[in-house]
Order: sequence, then C-alpha cells, then structure tokens
Amino acid sequence: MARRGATAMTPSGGWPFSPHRADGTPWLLGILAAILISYLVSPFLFPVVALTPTVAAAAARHALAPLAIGTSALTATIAAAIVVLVGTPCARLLARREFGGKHTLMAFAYLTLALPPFFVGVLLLGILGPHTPIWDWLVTRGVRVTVWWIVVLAQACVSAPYLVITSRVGFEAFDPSLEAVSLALGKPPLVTFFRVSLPLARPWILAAIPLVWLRALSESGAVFAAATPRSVLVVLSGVRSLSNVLPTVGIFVVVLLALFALTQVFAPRSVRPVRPDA
Amino acid sequence: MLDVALTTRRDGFVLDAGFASQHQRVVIVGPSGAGKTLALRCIAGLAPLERGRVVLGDTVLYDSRRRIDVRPWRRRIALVPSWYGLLPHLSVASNVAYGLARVWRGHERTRVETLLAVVGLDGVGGLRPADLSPADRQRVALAQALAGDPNLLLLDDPFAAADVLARDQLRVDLLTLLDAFETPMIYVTRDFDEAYLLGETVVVLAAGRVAQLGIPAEILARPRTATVARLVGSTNVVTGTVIGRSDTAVEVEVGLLRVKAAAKQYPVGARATFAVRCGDVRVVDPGPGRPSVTVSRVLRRSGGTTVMLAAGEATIEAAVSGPAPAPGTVVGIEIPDGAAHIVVPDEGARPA
Repeated sequence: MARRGATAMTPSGGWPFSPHRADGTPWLLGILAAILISYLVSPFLFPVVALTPTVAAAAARHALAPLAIGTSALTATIAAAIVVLVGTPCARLLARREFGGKHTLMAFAYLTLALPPFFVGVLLLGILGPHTPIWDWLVTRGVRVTVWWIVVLAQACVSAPYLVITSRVGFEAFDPSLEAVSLALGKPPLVTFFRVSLPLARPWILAAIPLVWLRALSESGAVFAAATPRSVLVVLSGVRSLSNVLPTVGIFVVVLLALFALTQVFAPRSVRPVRPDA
Repeated sequence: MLDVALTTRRDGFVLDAGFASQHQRVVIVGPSGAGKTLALRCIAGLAPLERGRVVLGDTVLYDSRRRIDVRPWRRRIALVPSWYGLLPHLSVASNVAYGLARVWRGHERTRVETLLAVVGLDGVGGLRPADLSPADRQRVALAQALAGDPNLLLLDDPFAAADVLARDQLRVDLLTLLDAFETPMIYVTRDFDEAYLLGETVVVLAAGRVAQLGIPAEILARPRTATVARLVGSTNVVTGTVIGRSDTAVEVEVGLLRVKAAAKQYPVGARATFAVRCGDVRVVDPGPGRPSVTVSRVLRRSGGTTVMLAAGEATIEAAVSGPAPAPGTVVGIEIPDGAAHIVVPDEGARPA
C-alpha cells in the first residue's frame, strides 16, 4: 500500500495546483520575465503606433532626416570599427595576462557604463574640444579636427565596454594550452593571436559588434554634450519641438529596428562557445 | 643529450628539479601536484624560470647564468597536452598543416597525408577534431607535433583522456613512431606502469623535487623514498624502530614484527621506514618464531587476492595464493631477508 501511495504522489505535472509548468519552469519566473519583456517592448511600440502614415511622411520629408540617418550610421560604423580594433587586444590582455592594476582597468570598463553619457561628452570636449592643447597641437600640424571626430569618439567611448566585457569572456573560454601548443609549434605570439586566439574568441566578438554598433548609434548624451551637430539622428529627435518629438522618435525606432534586423541577418547563426572537446 | 635544472616558484609552489639523461625517452612520473606539467612548460619556455638551465644536445635553450633564454617558438620543442591539444576551428588536415615546418612549403598536402597515415588515420583529414574519438584526437596531436620536425617532443600525460581500451595500443604506437622519427621525448604520467613501459630514463617527481632518477627496473627494485615506493606499487611502507644492525642491513621492529631491511647508516634506536612489496610477504601457518597476526580484510584484486594483516600497530598487506583465510583468522607471517629495504620517509605531507 505504501508503495502504491508513493507512486501516486510523484507523477510529473499531475498535481492540479502545481507551481510549475509541465516543462519545469515555475510560473512566477514566467510572470516576472513577461513583465520585463513588456517593459522592454513598450518604448518601441508606443512611438511606432503613433506613427500614422501622414505624420510619418511629414516627418520623413524633413530636410535633415535622410542626412541624419546616414550620418548616424556612418559615425556609428566608424566608432564600432575603432572599438573592435583597440578593444579586442585589450580584452585579450585582460583575459590572459596577470599584471598589476588589471582589476582597476576592468573596473574602468564597468565605470564607463555607469558614467552618465553626458559626462563622457563633456569630458571629451574638455580633452579634445576647440582650443584644448590637443586640439591646438593638431591644428598647428595642419590637422582639421571636425566635430564629427568628436561625435565618433564619444560614440566609441560609451560603446567600448560592451566589446571589452563580452570578448574578454571569449578569450577566457578556451583552454590556454591551445596557445601554448601553437607557440611550441613555432608560431610567434602575433601569429598565435591571429590564428588561434582570435578565431576561438570570434563568436563572442561577433556577438559584441551589434551591441557596440547599436549603442554607438543610439548614444545621445555624449554626442549632445560633445558636439551637438544638428544632423545626428538622436540630436534631431531631441531638439525638435515637443509636438513633433513622437513621430521623429517613431522614425528613429523604425530605422533602429530595421538596422537591428540587418545585424541579425549578418550575425553568426549561433554564438555558442566553441567547445574544444564537443 | 638532455640536461635540465629548473628552479621556479608559482603560487607558493616551488619547483626545484634537475636531471640529465643520455636516453631518447625520458619519463617524468609522480603524483598529482608534483610539478610535472610545470616542469614541461619550463622546458618548453612557456613558463618563466627563476634560474637553471635547459640544454638539448649541443644547444643551450636556457641558462640563467649566461643570460640565454630562447623564445618558446624558436626552441623547436613540440608539446602535446593531455586534453584540447587540437585547434577546434580547423579541420584535422589543417591542424597537422599548422604544425608543418617551413621546409615543407609547397608540399603541405602530401606531407600532411603522410603524417596522418603514419599515425594510422588515413582519410580523416576533412573531419573536425570534435568528430574523432579522444584516442584519435591524440594521434592527430602527435602528427601535428611531429610535423614541425621538433628536436624534442613533450607529451603531458597525452593518453589520459583516451579510452582505457585504446590506451595500450596508443603507447605501443608511440614507441613505433618515436623509433621511426628518432625524436627524443619527455613524457609525463602519473602511472608508473606507463613510465616503466615507455621510459629509458625515469624521473620520479614529488612535491617539486626529484625523488629518484634512474632506469625503470632499478626504481622498481629499489624505490628510494616512501612516495616512490607507493608509486611503484610497494604497498607496504611502514615505519618502526631500529633494534639491531649489520653492515648491509638493519632490523626494524614495528608492532609484533621484526623485519630485516637492507640499509646502511642507521643507528640503533632511530626511527626507520621500510618498504616491502605485498607479493614478498608470506602468509604461513602460525608457529614458533613467527609472529601471529590477524587477517583484518580480504581484498580481491585482478592481479591476485591479498589480505590485510593486523600486527599490533602495523598493518601489512600480503598476497595469498589459493583460498584466502577468512577475516579474523590468526595466521603467521614471514618476510624473507632482502625483501624489505629502508626508504627515505616523506617530508611532512603525504603524497596526494
């Protein structure tokens, strides 16, 4: 009898008031996730719903809109390229080397995330803006520092942590003995980096690039503070009168979603870690 | 032809080991945490040394006094680790090609095919390492390592990940390969049987130091320290008090036992540790002149049944032929002269 009783108590999902779904997910977690998802989606839905065809056409006709989209995409692309170029070696350094101040350096990557972007812009302006020593030094050497470079640098600055933090995980994820084997096979460190470390960390780096690019594209605080060029898309969304804001934001969101879809098309099918023993 | 002295420190662990060998096949054997892998990495130049030297043939690769430190990628020392040796993003053929020496430029394809055939893996060049069994992956890793025509091959417990059934064949194939390529190797293992099979010179490493160095048979017959004795399979390592001595032996008393063990320079009254293989301990009928001991446990091993014998404060394991006496039985014990010998006791910690 006792055995039959025990069997009846343990069917999977048979209990009518189980706090779990049949696949084992607790309902509570599902509800919490749903709250977050609706919170994430609503800022996109709201302006897009408000974007009636007439309003959209009017907003899009604004002389600056096409230029703004192009400029934003271009500066964000340059910023992302700079971030990948300098951020990847930095991530490799943080992942594989032990050196004094490593944790401080890592903390700075997170601090940049925490810093109000507006401060980043002001800071950049203070370092690179007109009539600062660096600006003057560049000007005396015949280099024309345009406001676009400050926009690019502001975008790079706020988006760099996404690459460093993500690809650092990639460089930590594979067995360091692979690099050792490569060195022992006569491949110098730079060759080993390009032929072993980089390909193995590639899924993480590729996963970080859309993040970096989108973060650079949507950066407003730093761009506002540093440059305020009227044609940058985010600035455009901000400076127009309040009655016009919603459709402009709507256009921005549509463009953003389109670009995001594009990154999904070109993103790797899977960013699963490459398991050497899989 | 190989002469190394390695002194380095890492996270509180001190490696201070040196050995020289004229043989082609050197095996470093020792318990986990003995510093075997670190020693290999130091020889390859992948881990920094505080001082010492690494000399291979006529080539000085490292010498702290002469400030010579050849970079790892210029040493021509290939390394095969126990796991993950292959690049997972490359095909098997590309992995082998990755190791190819420059002289093969223009003939990569033929050379890779030859190397794969030599390790017994024709036709798998297009597969990924993940598609192969662990044993076959290590065969590819060997082909990759040999592709660079290295002056020395370092193998860090390379067959640990392989299936038990495949391991013995891998060892035999490795011997064949080494004969064919005439490449010297240093092989790291935790298994003395493997060291015995593969090594011409065996270096026993324990707690970062060389516990014993010699030819395998010599180490098996006369382990120098308690750790080495346990490693080679002298199951009884017992400490007692010296109660008598002659020129070549001492008599050690422990519990009810008095054992004559080969040794020099042990004063009467001192503590001494001796080792005796369980096969050398005889279980006999109790009688006068033989200590009576109690069977505490019967162990059925594949190599033959043994019994644990409680002899006062000492417990001795002995092999038995025929039916084993039941636990609780009182039996006699005999350890022939010459079967036991004195070993250096472990310093502080027991081996892991």
